[in-house]
Amino acid sequence: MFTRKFCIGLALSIVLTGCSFSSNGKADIKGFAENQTLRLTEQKNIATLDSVKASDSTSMNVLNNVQEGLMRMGKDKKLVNGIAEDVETNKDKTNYTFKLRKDAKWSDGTPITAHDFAYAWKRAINPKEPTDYGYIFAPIVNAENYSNGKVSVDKVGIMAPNDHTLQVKLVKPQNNFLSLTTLPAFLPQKKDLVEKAKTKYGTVEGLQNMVYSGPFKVDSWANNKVVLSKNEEYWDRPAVKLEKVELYIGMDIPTGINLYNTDRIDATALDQAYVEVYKQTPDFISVELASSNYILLRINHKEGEAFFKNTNIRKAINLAIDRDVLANKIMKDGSKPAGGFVPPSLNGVGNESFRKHGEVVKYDVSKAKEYWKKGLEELKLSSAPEEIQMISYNSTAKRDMAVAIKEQLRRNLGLNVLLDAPPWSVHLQNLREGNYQMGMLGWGADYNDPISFLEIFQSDAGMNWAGFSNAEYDKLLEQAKSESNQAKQYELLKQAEQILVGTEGKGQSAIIPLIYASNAYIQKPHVKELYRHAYGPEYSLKWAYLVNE
Amino acid sequence: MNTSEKLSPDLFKPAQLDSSEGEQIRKESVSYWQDVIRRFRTNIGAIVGLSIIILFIVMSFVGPYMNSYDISTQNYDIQNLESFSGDHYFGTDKFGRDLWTRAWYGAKISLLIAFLAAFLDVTIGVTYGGVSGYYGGRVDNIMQRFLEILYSIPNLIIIILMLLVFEPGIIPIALALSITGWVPMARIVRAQMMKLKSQEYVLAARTLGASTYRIMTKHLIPNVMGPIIVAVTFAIPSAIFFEAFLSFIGLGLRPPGASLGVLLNDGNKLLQIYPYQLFWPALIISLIMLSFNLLGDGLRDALDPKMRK
Repeated sequence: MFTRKFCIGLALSIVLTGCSFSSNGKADIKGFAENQTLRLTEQKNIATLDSVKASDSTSMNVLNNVQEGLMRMGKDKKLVNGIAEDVETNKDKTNYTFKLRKDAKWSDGTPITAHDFAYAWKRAINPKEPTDYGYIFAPIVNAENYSNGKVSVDKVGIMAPNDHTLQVKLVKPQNNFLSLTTLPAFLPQKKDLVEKAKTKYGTVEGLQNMVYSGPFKVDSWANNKVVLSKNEEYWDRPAVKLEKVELYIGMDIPTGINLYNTDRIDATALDQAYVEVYKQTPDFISVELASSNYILLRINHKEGEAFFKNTNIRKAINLAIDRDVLANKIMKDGSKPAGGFVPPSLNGVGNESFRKHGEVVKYDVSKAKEYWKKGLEELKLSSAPEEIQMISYNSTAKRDMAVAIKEQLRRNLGLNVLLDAPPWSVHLQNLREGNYQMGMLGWGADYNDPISFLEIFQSDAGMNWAGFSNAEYDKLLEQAKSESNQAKQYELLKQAEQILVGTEGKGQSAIIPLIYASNAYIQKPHVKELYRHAYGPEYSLKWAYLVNE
Repeated sequence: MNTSEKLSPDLFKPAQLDSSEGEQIRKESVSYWQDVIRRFRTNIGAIVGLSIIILFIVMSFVGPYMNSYDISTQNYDIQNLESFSGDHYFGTDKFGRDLWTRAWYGAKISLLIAFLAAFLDVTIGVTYGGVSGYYGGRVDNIMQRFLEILYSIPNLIIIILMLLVFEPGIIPIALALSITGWVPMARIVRAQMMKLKSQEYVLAARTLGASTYRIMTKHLIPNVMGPIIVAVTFAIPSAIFFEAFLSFIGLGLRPPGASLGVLLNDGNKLLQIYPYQLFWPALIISLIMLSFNLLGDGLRDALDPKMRK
């Protein structure tokens, strides 16, 4: 099953490259613009071009377009082949063998080899220099042990038997390992250059010595502007039609919109205030993210009996929130009301969304009131407690959602919630230390797998800040993790999600889902084939081009 | 020469001079405060300022009841209505809440915080400055050094730290504002005290055996009243402004509470799209600030005996 799905991806890449080969790219396209310069904005500058160290969004966005890994994210979450020409797996999907393209070259003309991949990956988990994304190599045999200093580097399951073969051994069957290889942490690096540049690697000072494996290379990198130009050594250069990409740095949203309206940039991000203005225009684009927002309820409070330890109270709150209002009246950016935890943009290996089986919770005031009454009786309370505090991250959108939730709980349950919005770091600290009653939070995935969402509420998970512990939930997730058949895995995860957020049957309503997040942009209609992604780097420019208006 | 010859001595009579008559006061006696009011009345700016302040205070109590909405009920069918649509005189905000109600409610909260802060300023400042100025010497020296230390710490830092410890609300914000706000008041009172305590009438009172308390409350404080009132009228707008600033940087009242600062902060984000959501609270806060400054200016002129024409 897996190999069949993979072939679809492969076929797509052939189609994409095929059409450009036939015509040298340009003549076929109606109204192909003379000047192929794309102008975009980024809120922050590149932090580093060292793919092993990059963890901020601008660095990841740029790296995704100037470097190329084994696989690349294409249109609509489809994986297409990057430097890997072919992939073979064993039956239980624990061994991956990548055949690399023989014509793949760095921008200095030297070939890209399997050793470049093995070197970079091992560098990312080097115990001497921990990296932000080191954890993501955990599925690979001994990766975790090596980064903890327990085993030597040659025990790690990353091998390059020859220049064009890369073998990866995994601890457990993993349906979505290929989706991981699109992330910047899995990009190749040239060992001699990294070692020669030392601390300058990936910085502005080391820019002249940088080499690129992707469709573009970095021409200049200044405080206010980064310029990329086409990489003539790229193996799939006929597919690349843009000559130049200009990224304007440090633009906040109103500035970006002003530049957009004066035709000085081709696309920019929107916030909820501006969404309403541009929603009806043809320029509006909404991109589903692999991210959902929810409320954590402090279940096992450190001090005394917690209000939210009572399951009926939690269920009442879960049922009393009208997510339609949050998504369609507050966010308005294409976010969807969330009746579950896993966002619809996650679809595992196939193109079947995990959310296909529907939502778990629905807004129901009368049921909410029933549970509320029952819960208060069990807690021997005559009315709702005076002061329940809810903390949210201090951004306009999150605060607005909190204000709407407060009003809904007041109207539907008579519960008065006090709102606080501390700075992000304080907010996280409060949640981590259990110093909250209700806490709004978002969770986003780095790769395409519903497990990346549901596993954070396993009893022993580090991110389980709600103090949720359910033996059956833990068991279902462990089973799902070692299940290689996707249909069976989804069935297990579906049951687990029902326990986590459900109100019926075994449902515990441990967390209150709010919305499945989206990002909103405006983009000039003359920009074509610019793909934006739900997770990992935000966009891919490989196939993008401009037409005359 | 001719005329002088015609004058005869019997044309002259000795004048009946009453020595007490020269002491008589012909003009109606005017007390200090009557004089102040008279001078104040002639200042048009100050009168306009006072009228606007009175109007806004009345409106902040009456305004929220002039239509049927409250400050927190959300109605998503009427998000971001323009001004003057139906009885939403100022329009509605992004939650469909009535801006007229919220603006006047916000003005009330802002004024309340400002008056509370000014009251605390006066209470602490007058006591501290009075004691320091009256006793002088070592007491003054120690009290002034303490005050200078307090004054040398940027007040924004103290206020932000205070609001991180206490839950944001009307009283904590007023307290935070007056924690350093009383210092200028104490300085004014101290300087006046030092000037006045060596005046003859104080000396006379002391010679007659008046207690320190009596001298302070009956002789000194009433004479410092002028500068205190002026300082208060300038302290109130600065407290309003500071409250707005705190709300603006996110340290203000909890939502859905409203103060002018909260409304300005919300409106500012929508400036390019719905400018009226910023315009109305901005207009109210500007008029309040202007009015208090005009009033303070007028009072300063009126309360200063040297300005008497």
